[in-house]
Amino acid sequence: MISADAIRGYVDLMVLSLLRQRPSYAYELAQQIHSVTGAEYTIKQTTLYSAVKRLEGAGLVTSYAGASESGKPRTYYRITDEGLAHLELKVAEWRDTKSVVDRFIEGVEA
Amino acid sequence: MNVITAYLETMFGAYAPTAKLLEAKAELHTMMEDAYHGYLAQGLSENEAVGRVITEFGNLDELAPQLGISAEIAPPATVPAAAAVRPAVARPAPVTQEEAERYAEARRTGEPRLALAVAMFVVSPAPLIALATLTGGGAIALDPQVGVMIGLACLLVIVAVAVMMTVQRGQQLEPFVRLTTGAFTRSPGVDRWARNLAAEASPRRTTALQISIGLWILAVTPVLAMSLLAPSEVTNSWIGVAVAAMLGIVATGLLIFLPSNWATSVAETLTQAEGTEAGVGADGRRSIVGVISAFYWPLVVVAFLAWSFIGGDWGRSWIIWPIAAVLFAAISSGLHAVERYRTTRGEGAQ
Repeated sequence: MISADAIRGYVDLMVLSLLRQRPSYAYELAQQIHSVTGAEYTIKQTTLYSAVKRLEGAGLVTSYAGASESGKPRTYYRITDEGLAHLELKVAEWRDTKSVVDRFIEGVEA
Repeated sequence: MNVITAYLETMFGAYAPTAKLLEAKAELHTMMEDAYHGYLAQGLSENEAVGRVITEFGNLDELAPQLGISAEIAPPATVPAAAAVRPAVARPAPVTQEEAERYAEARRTGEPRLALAVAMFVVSPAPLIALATLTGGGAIALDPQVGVMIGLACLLVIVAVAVMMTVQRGQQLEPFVRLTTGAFTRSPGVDRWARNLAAEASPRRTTALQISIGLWILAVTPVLAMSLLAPSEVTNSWIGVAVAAMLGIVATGLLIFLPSNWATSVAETLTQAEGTEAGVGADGRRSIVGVISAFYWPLVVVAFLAWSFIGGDWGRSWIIWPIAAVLFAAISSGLHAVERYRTTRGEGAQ
């Protein structure tokens, strides 16, 4: 289990990388996240919603009204060019972070 | 579904309905609805699906910056009045949905074991009573002293196992001591969930209780039949067996009723306990039949042993059991009537 605090800073990255593939709505995002993380992390609905709204507020994603395959109305989110650029930055930052932290934990048994 | 709508209404109810807030509520509602149907499709029951969805809701604090309700959720320190009042009304942390569900699960899985332990306490003297009168009356060729020894050994082994099971269950519930002692603040979502849980389990519980009370009332039949219908020399030897059968019937009633009681008991713990004192009150009222039988029957065992050993009257001391059983049936059906009266009155008041 990963604590919500540990992963909080990376929810934006997860959402942006999923939206890079195709536009999506909140529940579908939650399901896609779940299918990747499995039992190790379940995203709370409020966490996901606040991440999407934060990204929208920063102009990294835009929303539009659409309908799901079953025809129900959904708010869809699409990544913007700024979002793509931001994602690249964030991915680079994560690689650096990971490599720095890895250097510290080398040899630590877990 | 209504539970989810009501849950969101309660969560958002405290805040002014701004456009952003309504938008958030609508979108979260859609998300929860989707998730609910998703879980149903996976084969979960309605109740489990609602529980999961509410568990995965999260916390409104997270939305505060987006919704502009930060001030309401966490009053800024610049308001001295609020800051001054805070420590005085420091309340214990609210119960979370996850915690409530883990507690309910522990109770649900643990209750059959508790029921078995209580039933074992009740039947523990059965071999002793049966053997004491059978050997005393000469129905089996065994020294009465040996018969009593074997019976006592059985009693001690059964009681020891039952005590171990009770202790084990106590340890199982150890992590939830904050819930069982009422050291938590209620949360509207958990309240709803718990009431729903109890309501769903209620018909089964009532049926189980009625069957059990029926059994408890009928339990004295073997003893009555034996003493009224059989010739006295048969009665002298076999009355102990009739008493043992009676204890078996009482224990069966407990085995039927106690496992069906968990949801009601969980709901009472989660919704009635607010602050320690109220918690103790709720604790006192919870499953009175269960609590009484946990104390009542061991006490009867002690009384029976005391009379038999100190009085040395194995031929007559069995009489304590039918009396205890009739009393038990009377007490539990009386309590059931009070409970029903209280429930109907409560429904009428709402």
